[in-house]
Amino acid sequence: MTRIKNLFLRSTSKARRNYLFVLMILFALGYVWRPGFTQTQSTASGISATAETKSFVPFALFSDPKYTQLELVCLLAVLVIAISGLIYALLLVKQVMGANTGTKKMQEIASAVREGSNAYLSAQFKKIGPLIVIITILLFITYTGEVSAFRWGRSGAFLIGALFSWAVGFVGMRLATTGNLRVAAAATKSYGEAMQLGYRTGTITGMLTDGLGLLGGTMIFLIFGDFAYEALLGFGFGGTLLALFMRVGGGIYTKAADVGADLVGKIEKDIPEDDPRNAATIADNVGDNVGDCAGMAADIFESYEVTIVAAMILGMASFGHKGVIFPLLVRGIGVLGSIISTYTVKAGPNDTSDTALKSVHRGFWIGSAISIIGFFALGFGYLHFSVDYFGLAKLNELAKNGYWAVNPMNLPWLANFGIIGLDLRPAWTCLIGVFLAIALNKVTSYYTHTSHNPVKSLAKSCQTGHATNIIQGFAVGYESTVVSILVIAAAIFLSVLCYAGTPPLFVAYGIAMTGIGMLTLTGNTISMDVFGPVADNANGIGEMGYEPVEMEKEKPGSYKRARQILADLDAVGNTTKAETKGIAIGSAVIAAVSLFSSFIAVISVGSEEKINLMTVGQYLTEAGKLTVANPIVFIGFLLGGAVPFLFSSMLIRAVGRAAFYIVHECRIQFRDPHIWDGTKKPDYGRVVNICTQTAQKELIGPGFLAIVTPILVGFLLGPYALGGFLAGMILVGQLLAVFMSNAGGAWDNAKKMIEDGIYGGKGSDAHKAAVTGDTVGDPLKDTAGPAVNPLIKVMNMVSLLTLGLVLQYNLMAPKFDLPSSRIIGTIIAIICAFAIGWAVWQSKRENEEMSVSAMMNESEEKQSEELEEVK
Amino acid sequence: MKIHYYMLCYRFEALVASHLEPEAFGLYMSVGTQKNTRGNVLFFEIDPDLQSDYFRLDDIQERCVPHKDGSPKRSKYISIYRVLEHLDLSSFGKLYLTTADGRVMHLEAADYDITAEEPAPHLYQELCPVSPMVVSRLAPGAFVKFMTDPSHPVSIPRLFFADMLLEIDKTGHLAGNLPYSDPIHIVDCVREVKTAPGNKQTKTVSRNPQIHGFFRTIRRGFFLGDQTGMKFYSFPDRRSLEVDYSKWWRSATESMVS
Repeated sequence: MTRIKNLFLRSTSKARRNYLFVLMILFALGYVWRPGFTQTQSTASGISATAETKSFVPFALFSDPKYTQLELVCLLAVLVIAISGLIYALLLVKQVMGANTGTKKMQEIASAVREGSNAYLSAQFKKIGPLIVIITILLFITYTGEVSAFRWGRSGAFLIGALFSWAVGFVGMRLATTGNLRVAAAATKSYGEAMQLGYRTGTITGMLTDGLGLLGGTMIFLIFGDFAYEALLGFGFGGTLLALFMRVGGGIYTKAADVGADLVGKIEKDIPEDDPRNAATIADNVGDNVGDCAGMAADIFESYEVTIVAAMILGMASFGHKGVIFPLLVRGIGVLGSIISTYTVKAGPNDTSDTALKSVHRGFWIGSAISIIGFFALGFGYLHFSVDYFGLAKLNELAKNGYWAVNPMNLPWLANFGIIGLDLRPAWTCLIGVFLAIALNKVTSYYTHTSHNPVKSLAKSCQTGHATNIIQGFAVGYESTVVSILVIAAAIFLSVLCYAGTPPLFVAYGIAMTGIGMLTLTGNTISMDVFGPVADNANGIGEMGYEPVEMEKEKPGSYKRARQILADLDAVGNTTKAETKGIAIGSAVIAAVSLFSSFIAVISVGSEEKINLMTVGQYLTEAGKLTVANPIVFIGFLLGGAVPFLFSSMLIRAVGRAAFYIVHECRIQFRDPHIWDGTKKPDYGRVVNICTQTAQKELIGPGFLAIVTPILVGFLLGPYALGGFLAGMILVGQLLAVFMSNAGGAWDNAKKMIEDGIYGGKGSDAHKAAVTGDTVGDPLKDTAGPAVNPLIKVMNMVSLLTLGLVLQYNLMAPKFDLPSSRIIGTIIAIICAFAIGWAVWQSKRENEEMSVSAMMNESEEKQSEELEEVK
Repeated sequence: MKIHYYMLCYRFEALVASHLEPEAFGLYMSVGTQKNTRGNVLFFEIDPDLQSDYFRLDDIQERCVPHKDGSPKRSKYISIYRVLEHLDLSSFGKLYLTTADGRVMHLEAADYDITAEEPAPHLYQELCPVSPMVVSRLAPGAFVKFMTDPSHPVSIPRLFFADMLLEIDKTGHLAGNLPYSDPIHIVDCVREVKTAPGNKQTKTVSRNPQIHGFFRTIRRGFFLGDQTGMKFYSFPDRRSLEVDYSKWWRSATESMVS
């Protein structure tokens, strides 16, 4: 019977794969096929689609007189800085690799975690690799411009962006799984050494992100010059898409392993965290790396990419080439700031978590100070404009329309400190970005740290039970979203104020520069984030791998001291990790707002390559149509607002499903008396495999949703509905992401607070209520919440990239009102609808019993065989 | 196979014969063979040469036999009622403390230094044969005498109990790290014992309390005694627990069950 069930299961999954494959082919055909006659039609605005034929020469800026020698030298210097960042990372790799690796037992545990992490990313690469190739080909085929170099550029940049994003995640995680062992070994000697190693392990990932992001953006600009946006969109999309998959897959993995390990270990069997008898222990540690390290690094990398993409596109459209070069220079300063400031993070041999945290924060402050000084120094040196730069006629026309503040001779004092021709507004907006990052850090810290009232109130509410803790957690989470959005709104408002009296694209550029400023210290941010899982893993290795009696024999008190050091580092890591989440979400909103302006600009002129030709009137006319008074836009707005909920629901279900499998596997293994009495190692690999396979399987549905939904809305309801869709998605996505991250973080720390000895401490009724809150918050804060961040950007990028086709083939008002256009639009919409339907069905399928019974049978058979052998 | 005698004294009272060594017995009593049960277990190792008119021991060799497959008999219950009082005080050996997931630590009987008595009040968790939690102004030795004094209208022949942590902070509240279910009531009981006029020696906090984080609340250790004498099982200090018994202590402190 079981075999029949399995056969049925296999054939069903095979049929499903075939069905998907056919759908993908249909999708590709429907997507790329265009009747030839439509290509020679005139556009609504009377511009022939083939009229703007461009000539393209690679590295043209080196021969373009518009670029001064100084600018070229600066660009090359940025390139050198990017490479320096990578070299710095390499030096840190050597430092970390050269550290002591502890005892054999510790090495074995670390090796299991490393192997599990590698297996996960390899499996993910195999799964996503073909999809990336398909999308690369699709981007190549569907490019609607005329210059074939751009076709290659966009698809190639997509591939590179994706590879960079994957490399950041992979190398970062690889190093984290190497560093954790060294931190655990160093903790037996000194607090400072352990802390420094952990932080520098994180810095490697941070500098890799900085270096690769800056290298990619600068190289694209050097190759494509004024047409860099053609490739930049692909570069940004590649990084974003990979980050989405790594975030989603990592998030599902980490929480499935964590919840599975806790449910069966702590709740069912009442054994401590990281107990080596629990088969899910290694998977739990692997999960910390794939979720918090690989996922977060890829996520921030894509934010880094997308903000530079938005700034460069909008910079070219508003300020011209100086508007493109300045963000690159700012990023260069940021990399330098990160190199210097991360190196200053140190701790003494007898420090505590408080002093260590101060050192990390001091590093961030030093980096911020270097960056701010750098922005303004650069601004003073570089941001000089003459009337000729913009053209007198253009300035006069803008002034006539009320845009007086474009003219460099006419700027307010704060913008140039009285120096005619100087325009420091981009530097000011970068400064706003730095403050935004700091403010979001503080807000996140306030709502999730144990030293502030929100978490204290949660811990207090645990005294009255599980429900009051949950209720209070919701209240704290909701409130935190309001404060976060106020901070972001204030930053955007200040950016808008900086560009008062300028056309909308200048304003959008200002917002994009806020994003640039915000992520200036990406090196520090990722160092802080990755430090979390490294310290967490080191604590696990200490728990499982230290030999207390031997350590005490060697040096009395050393075991206790080492465990205390690791516990302290874990606490510091938890705090720094939580703080960076606010930055990741905030940057998504800022980048999305910038990209949204690009979106309106593309609607205005028909395609992104004509943004330069756009008039202010065109922009305002199209932006004016994006109003909720238009029911179609409002429908789009509603749909956009709903998507983050559906996406989160899919992810949370996925965690539950994956945890279900893990619990079953652990229960089976616990029945082995030799595992229970500690004389036999559990089969950690089986749980790691389950996590890897389920995470890969589960990420496809949400991934499809993210890619396909904007395409469906665009083709079905038209570009304005798509605009509404994006607006709704950005707003709700931001609110939901902050709520989930902060509520989850607050529940987690409320539990830790009680465990530290208040309201009865561990095992008390209050603690039980706190554990419930933490379990509820886990998939929110580590799976769904962080994944909404790349979702926002993927949907924006997909919308931007497909907008040209949407304008031509949407069902509401296609550019060429021909039956064939509507037929194509209908086919694409139907395929997308099917794909979304499949994704939703996939997320709700309830075939656990079959799968688990099959899995149990297999595992039980294996176990019986092993027991026989033992006998 | 050698037969061991064990006396279970928390959370129920029983005399059991078993082929298992104490650690294996503790693991078995705590989590069972299928690992589907859990819970803290306290038991004494009883003199293997135990002789008793009260318990049916003469045919124990016939009753406690290995299973057909040769595996040891894990438990053969001899008595489940009034066991504590019918064993000689001298027959009580080591005390075994088993955590909810089966980690076992043993305590040896030690001399109790009466001069090291700390000032009242004390918090005691009676464990066998009755199990209320009480606040008392009596030190352990006096408390045993008081509770087992047959001249009192209510008494028991012998008592096994634990001395529990009772820290009251400057604000008059119970220390935050203590996981007792009703901290305010404990403070009230302490106040009553301290201030009550006359001869109020003890005050019951709870008749049958749920003891969360039980091992974390143990202060000096466990006491077993009657009118004839007292045995003291000293609980290791914090450092020793964290280093020498690190696995047991971690299991004990992370436990979520009573």
